[in-house]
Amino acid sequence: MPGKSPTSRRRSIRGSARLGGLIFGVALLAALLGTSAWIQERYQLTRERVSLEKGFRIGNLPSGEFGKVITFGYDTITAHLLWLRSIQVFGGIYRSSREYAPVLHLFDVITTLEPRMVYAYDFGSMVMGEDSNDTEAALKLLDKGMYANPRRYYRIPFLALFQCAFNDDQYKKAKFYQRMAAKCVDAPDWIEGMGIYLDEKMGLYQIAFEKWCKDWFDSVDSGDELMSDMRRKRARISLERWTLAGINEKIEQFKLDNGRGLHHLRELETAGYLKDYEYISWGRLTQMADLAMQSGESLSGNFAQIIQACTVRGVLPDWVDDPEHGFDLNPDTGEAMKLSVIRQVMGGRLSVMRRELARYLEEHGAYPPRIADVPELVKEDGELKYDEPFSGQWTYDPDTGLLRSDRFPDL
Amino acid sequence: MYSIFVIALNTFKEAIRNRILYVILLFAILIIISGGIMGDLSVSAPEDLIRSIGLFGINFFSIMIAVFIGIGLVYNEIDKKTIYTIVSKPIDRTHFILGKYFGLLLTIYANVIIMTLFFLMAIHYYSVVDQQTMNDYFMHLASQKGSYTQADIYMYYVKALLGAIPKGAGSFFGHDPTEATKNIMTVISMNCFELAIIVAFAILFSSFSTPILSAFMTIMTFLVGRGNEDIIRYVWKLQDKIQASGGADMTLHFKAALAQVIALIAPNLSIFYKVSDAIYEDKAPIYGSEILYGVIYPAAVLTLACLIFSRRNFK
Amino acid sequence: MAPVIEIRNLSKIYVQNFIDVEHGRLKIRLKNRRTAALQDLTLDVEEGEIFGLLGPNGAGKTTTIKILMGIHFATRGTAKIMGHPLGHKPTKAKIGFLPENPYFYDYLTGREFLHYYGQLYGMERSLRRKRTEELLELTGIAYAADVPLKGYSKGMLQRAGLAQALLNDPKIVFLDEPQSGLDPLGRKEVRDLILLLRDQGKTVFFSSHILSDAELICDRVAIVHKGKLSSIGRLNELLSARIKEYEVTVAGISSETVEQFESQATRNVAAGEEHLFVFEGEQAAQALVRKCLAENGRLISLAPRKETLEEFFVDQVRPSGEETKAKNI
Repeated sequence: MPGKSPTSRRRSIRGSARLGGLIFGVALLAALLGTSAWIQERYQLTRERVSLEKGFRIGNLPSGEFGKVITFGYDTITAHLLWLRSIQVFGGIYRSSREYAPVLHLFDVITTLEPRMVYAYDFGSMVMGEDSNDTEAALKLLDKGMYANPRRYYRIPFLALFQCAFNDDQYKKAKFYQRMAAKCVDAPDWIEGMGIYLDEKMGLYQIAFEKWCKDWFDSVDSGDELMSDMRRKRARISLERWTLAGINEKIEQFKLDNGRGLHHLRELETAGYLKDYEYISWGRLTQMADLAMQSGESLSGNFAQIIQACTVRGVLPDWVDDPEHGFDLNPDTGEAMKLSVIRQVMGGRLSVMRRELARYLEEHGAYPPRIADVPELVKEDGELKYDEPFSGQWTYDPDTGLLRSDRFPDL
Repeated sequence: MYSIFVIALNTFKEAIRNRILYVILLFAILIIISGGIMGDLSVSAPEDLIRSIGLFGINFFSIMIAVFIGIGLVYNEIDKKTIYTIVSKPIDRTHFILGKYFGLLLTIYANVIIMTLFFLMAIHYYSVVDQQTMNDYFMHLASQKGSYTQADIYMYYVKALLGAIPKGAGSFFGHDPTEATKNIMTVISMNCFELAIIVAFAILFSSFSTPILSAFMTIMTFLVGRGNEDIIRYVWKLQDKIQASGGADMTLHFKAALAQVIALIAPNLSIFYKVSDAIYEDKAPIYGSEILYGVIYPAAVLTLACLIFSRRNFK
Repeated sequence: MAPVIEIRNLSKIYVQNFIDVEHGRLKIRLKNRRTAALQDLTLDVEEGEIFGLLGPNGAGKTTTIKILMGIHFATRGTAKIMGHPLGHKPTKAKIGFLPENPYFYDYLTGREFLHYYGQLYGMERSLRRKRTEELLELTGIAYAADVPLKGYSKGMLQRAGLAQALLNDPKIVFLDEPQSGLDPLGRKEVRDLILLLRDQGKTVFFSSHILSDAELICDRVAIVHKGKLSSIGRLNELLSARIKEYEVTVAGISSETVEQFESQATRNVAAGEEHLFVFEGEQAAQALVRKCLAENGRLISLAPRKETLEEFFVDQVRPSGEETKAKNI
């Protein structure tokens, strides 16, 4: 067959066949590439519709336990990589929807995969507790961490304590976490102090006082002057708070019995409400401590006896008139209050009134004849805005503009 | 004994002349030293990420080497009939299997050592080019010289790189050890036991089946071994169920017994992968029982491999 | 003198399980398949002889050697090499083996390969080095000693295989199809090498299906067919001494004479003036020669033809299988 056809014709047939093949090949290539590009374009369309959050949820593990099984031992690295992801997810959510459920879930997965990742609890509980205001969720995460690391990382119960005490005012719960934190092997000293703080917050002043007092005695015994000084001060503060709380209890009782408030603090004594009232005399306590220190006796060893010996019964505390530590009635509320606080309140009122008087002088060229003539200091019903509290009087001299309280004439 | 050594050495030679090894090694080193970049993305504790990625890389890629080189070693000798001349030599078939095993193990351990060296160097390097350290250094430099230039910063990087090499090598040989490097060495040495088990399985499967099948079986064994503790958890769950149901359901008993047997027979590999301990404990614990297990278990697998191999007719 | 190789009732039955992996594929059959590769083979090989194990493909030659080498295990029967049962390590140290179509570690160079095998024999380093160089020279691959084996041709691999078989200066050498895959020159070299080995007092046990090679060098042969020994003995014993045919080539004889002898000859060929007659009997040949001389013709050749091993072999094999012969010989 090929022998019969002329050579030139054969060549042209072959040439055109080659050209046809080339055209077919290019067309096929174009068609295939075009189709794949079209499919790719479809994909892009779907991709745009999927939001970051949804995409994240699709890629999410159903649970940490499940993740633990499918990572085949590579759980730590998976947790670490998810941790990187969680930061991105948090950022995304923080800027857009503020829906925190996925983050919580992610932290749950991370901490199941690697229960020892303390900073995941840290970050997770902060995100949930602070940003999302969901203390419950934060505590759930932290509870899991404590369960997985018994007595290991004080930081986890401390975070729980923090959530309870500062975000939710749940001091009782916080105290529970404080005890857990204190049991951890790496617990620092200040966790102990955290407990006293919480005791005081809960009104358990006696416990707080006894702890500080013991600590004070301990440091006196060990000759640690700096610590003993600090603890002594803390003990005193606790004692004052405790005493004040006791007195207020008696005032409450008086109110209930008589249907009226006290006119004067001494009324408690005269009305016999302090017969079974006990307080610890600070003066005697410091005396005995000094004595013991000079004689070289152990203070902490005789703690119970010392406290016993310092206990006074039936009278108001001996420091009641002390300007710094003493206390008096607040007639506004009818409760006992520290004098120093009353003084502070008084100082504040005086400075406001004096400022107004000075302004009046600037405007009118002279001081007002009465305080009530200064419109800024008078309420709508004509009464003075600021009373002299505690049943005292304002002393006012219109010539010199001098304003004083007869209760605290030194102010 | 000498013949085991000779075969092991030849196996080592065979493995190191295999290109796959270098591809895997290159990838492994890239992953290991990329930890620092990943660490930079983390808001806290970047060193945790460096360590976990590095330890993962060493473990994962050495297992890859074990699987992809181990599976063909014995099979190829049979397939290409080189075994004919070996068997006719005055050596036991057992020696052949053991030689192959130790040769492959030697190859993998050599790779682990190389990866570990790179890893330790990376750790030292990243600890020096850390943001805080660099800030302190350049603040100090600025207070001394008044200012510093871009060249100083480049020099700092070069110095860090050059300094990391002897430091990394030093850490490897236990010179000036920190808790971190000690833990890393502990974990990697424990990994070696896991590798010993996996290589034993690769040799076992390779001694009676084709490379693809033995790769599959070796990987399955690895996965079962890593999931062994999950099987144990499943057994507990079943036992709880049995107690709750009063033990009347016989299928539950059967399932529990079966799972228990599997958990006991299958290797427990998760005890040799202590990355979590290395990162979060001051001192990663080592237990004698684990070491004993890591010696006895591969010995058992090898015994089985020898039993099969010495009764085998070769095609 | 005790034989160096004693084979007694050696049998091998291959069992292919109904489910099996073959060539990387899972095969499932209805039941196990049994193939008798070797049935009750019994033979002895004396020291210092070249013994050929001959037979068509699939006759059981390689199976016999594999069993002797410990690659396969016999189903029945025993074999002893140098008076020791198979698998005796000191005996193994005194034998050499070249498998059929050898393939070696292609990542090793020729020299490394020989050193490796020398180590497997437990040879000292200095001895190993000496033997390696000697054998590289002897087998003619010294020029490629540092080339990896993957660069070797089939013939070079065969030579390397021979070198490793002789590395330990063995007492007995087992060669499985040593000449297959070699060019004529290579085959001659192997032949010379085998004769050299015999001269050194070694026993050579080799298998072959290339009979012409075996015929030239074997002291004794055994012919196996379908797993059974069909005959064994010295070559000159096996092949009868009688002359089978006479070939007479003459020229310049008359056409009458040609016609006269055509009827007597089994075959005759004419090429111009020359005529070739093949006679079975001696008388007819002598008559032709006399007639030719009488007619002043030229006697170009007179050749008596003996029976060849090949013909003997065909005779042996024919009754049990026509087609086997046709295909393999």
